[in-house]
Amino acid sequence: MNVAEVTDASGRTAAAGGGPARRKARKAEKLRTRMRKHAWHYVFLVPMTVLFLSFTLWPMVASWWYSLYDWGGIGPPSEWVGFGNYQEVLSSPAFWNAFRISLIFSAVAIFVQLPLALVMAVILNNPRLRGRNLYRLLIFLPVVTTTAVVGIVFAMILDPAGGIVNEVMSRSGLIDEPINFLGSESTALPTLLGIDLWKGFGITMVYWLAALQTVPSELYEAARVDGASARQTLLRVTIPVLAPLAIVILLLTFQTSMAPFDLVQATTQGGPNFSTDVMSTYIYRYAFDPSFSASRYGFASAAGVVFGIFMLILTLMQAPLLRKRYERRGK
Amino acid sequence: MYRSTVPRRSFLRTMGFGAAAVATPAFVSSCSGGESGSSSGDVALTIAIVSGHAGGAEFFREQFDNFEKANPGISVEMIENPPAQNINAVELMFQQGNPPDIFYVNGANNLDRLHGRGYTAALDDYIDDDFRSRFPEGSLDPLISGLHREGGLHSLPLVSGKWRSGSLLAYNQAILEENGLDRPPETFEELEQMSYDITRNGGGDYYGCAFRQSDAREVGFLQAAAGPSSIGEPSGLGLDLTTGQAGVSDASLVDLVELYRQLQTDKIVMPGWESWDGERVFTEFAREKIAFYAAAEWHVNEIANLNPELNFGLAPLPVPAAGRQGYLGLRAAFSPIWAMSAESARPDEAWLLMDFLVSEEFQRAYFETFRSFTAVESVWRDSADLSEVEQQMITIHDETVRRAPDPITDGSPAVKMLMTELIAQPDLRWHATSVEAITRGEDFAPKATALDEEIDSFLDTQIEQLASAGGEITGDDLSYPEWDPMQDWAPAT
Repeated sequence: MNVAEVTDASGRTAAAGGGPARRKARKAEKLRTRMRKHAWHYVFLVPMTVLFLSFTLWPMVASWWYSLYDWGGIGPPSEWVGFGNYQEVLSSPAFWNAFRISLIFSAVAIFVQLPLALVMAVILNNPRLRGRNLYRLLIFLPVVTTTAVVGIVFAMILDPAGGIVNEVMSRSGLIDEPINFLGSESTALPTLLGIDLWKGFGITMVYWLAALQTVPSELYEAARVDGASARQTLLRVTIPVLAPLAIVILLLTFQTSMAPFDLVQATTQGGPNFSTDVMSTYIYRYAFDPSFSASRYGFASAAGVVFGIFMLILTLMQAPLLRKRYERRGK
Repeated sequence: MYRSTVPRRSFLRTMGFGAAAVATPAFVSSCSGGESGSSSGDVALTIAIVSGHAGGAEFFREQFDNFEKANPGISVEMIENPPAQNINAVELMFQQGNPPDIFYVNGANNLDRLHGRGYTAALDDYIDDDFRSRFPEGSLDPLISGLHREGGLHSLPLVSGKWRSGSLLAYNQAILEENGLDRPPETFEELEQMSYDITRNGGGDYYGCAFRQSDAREVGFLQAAAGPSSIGEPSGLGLDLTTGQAGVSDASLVDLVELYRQLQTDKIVMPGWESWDGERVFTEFAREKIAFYAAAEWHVNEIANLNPELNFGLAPLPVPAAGRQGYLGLRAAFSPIWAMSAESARPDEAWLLMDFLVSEEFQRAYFETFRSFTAVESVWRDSADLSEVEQQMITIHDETVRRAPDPITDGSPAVKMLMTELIAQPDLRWHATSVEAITRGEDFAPKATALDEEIDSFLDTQIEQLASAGGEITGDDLSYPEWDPMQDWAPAT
């Protein structure tokens, strides 16, 4: 490479020809040209960037910052406590209880809801099934029903004093005395898990249905020609093709299942005796619950950050799976 | 392929227009709310309100229209905030340099914070004996009112302190009669016996008693008749202010939790309360499923609205058979509601509006519209159209509520900080511990003793930290040895 140095009037040396200064200038010119060329694109990006910075990035960064203060949420935080809030969060049995229950919600979503929704999606994907659109609609209906309403309705129908479920069961002789579905430590969590599964089932099924549309019909055709049974077609054709998308669905289900705030708040508020307390209700209790009157935004932010980090780790643990699937598909 | 190219000058011009478009309304808006009045010399006041009732905003607007008519040249702009966002919204208005002249603080804790930020104006220069005479005697004493901060009057009330601090026994007359009872229980023992009888006779159609909500807080209201009310008071701090120590293990509370544990174990209490919110109990009462329960004052109107035909009455909460040992504690004469901005550019006009908010005219209209007992007591005590239950409520309040000390109301700044720290520890409330004992059928006494140790240890640590940071605080600051729970408490002069 030909690099010649020249000295200017002030005695500074600069690269000439293909030298770094020239390259820098060329680069800057290129950038300017590109900026001019895409000026309108940048203009159109501005609203999205502003919204992203204001409502996604800023709250996230702010919560990290707040978590280092003993702050009640009013006025700028001023009492620096460093990692004190984190120490308190990590040593709080209530935090770990809420964390454990959040994980249970997630486990049910992944190990029960996900496979059941797949089975249902496969059934409802059969073009020969009459009225399949109606079934899809009926299963999807709970998804678009307001959770607060769902909570109130379930509280009424499961009421131990006159609720329809208890009435029917006791009249038919199935039970001697009413079951306190939402008020007993032994039944409240399974009940909420059931309601959550019922409510979220439709959306997971729709994910699977969308994924099923990506399976080429030629593969089914070939399988049929080869004499594959329905089971073999499912195991050897459908599931392998769905696998990469399944990981995405798994991630989505995992993410949504970890924060069933609205359902818990509308039914048990985390009780009885914190047996249904999930991370979001735990954080809400410290940050916003008016019955406590003294909010602890700093502490609640620290709990949110710790939970977020664990979520990130759990999510990242699934990344190698995803990469492996895509690499295999690429080959 | 089409490539768009925009000249630099044109690009900058576009960005400049965009910036101007964004900045102009903000600039105009920030200017418009600042200085008073229009070119005609009129004064425009802004007031940030929270409407806790259906139709509340319309009520306030109507009242402010009346104020405007009575005060020509002053107009009132009303900003309504949702209850949960109100304080943040007010705080933001201050930070943006466009604060309201008057705002809704709603509670001691919020007043502490806004006063601490220097946002609230002291009102002492505006008040005189005529103003004081509107309120019960002595209730504007700085150590009692709940409206003062650092000795200055920084807030005005909306409703009577008793409206928020008392509790009543609501009973269903028809259920009592059906069970051969001519009155509600007057002692704990009667409460227990009647609950057993009614629930067993009801056969699942109705129940003798019920908890108010999932935290079983009425145990604390009942406790006030058996010992110092500070132990069982609603926030659940469990402090015995006669000693300055945690008092959860005091027999006055332990015995009551044990009573309710037994009722729960024997399936006498209406089931399902473990997941109830604050509104469920009066709904069930209005459905005639409960014979009696410890109701909050605001439940009464809700019950009447839900079931206008319901034959129900109100009575004082039961007391121990051996006799009353204390009263429900009125820890502050009022809850702070209205505050005037320290940054108001028209304080004299703002005061006129503040004065209007505690005027007989406004307070009477508020009582007549919402039937809440207002801070100016004459408007409801002298009212000709009091219903029977309202008359019962007034009698019960007068009989069962007494002033009690409260470090949050009369303590030094360091003591208030200590109390704020304690309030912010939900794990140290006795509510959760008592619910655990009641629902699991476990002994409450050992849990209460353990909780007392935790609370005392927390207080000792906090007091040490606050004192070492220069705060004026000692362990004695939570102790009021001169307080007799059987008498109205008066601060030492």
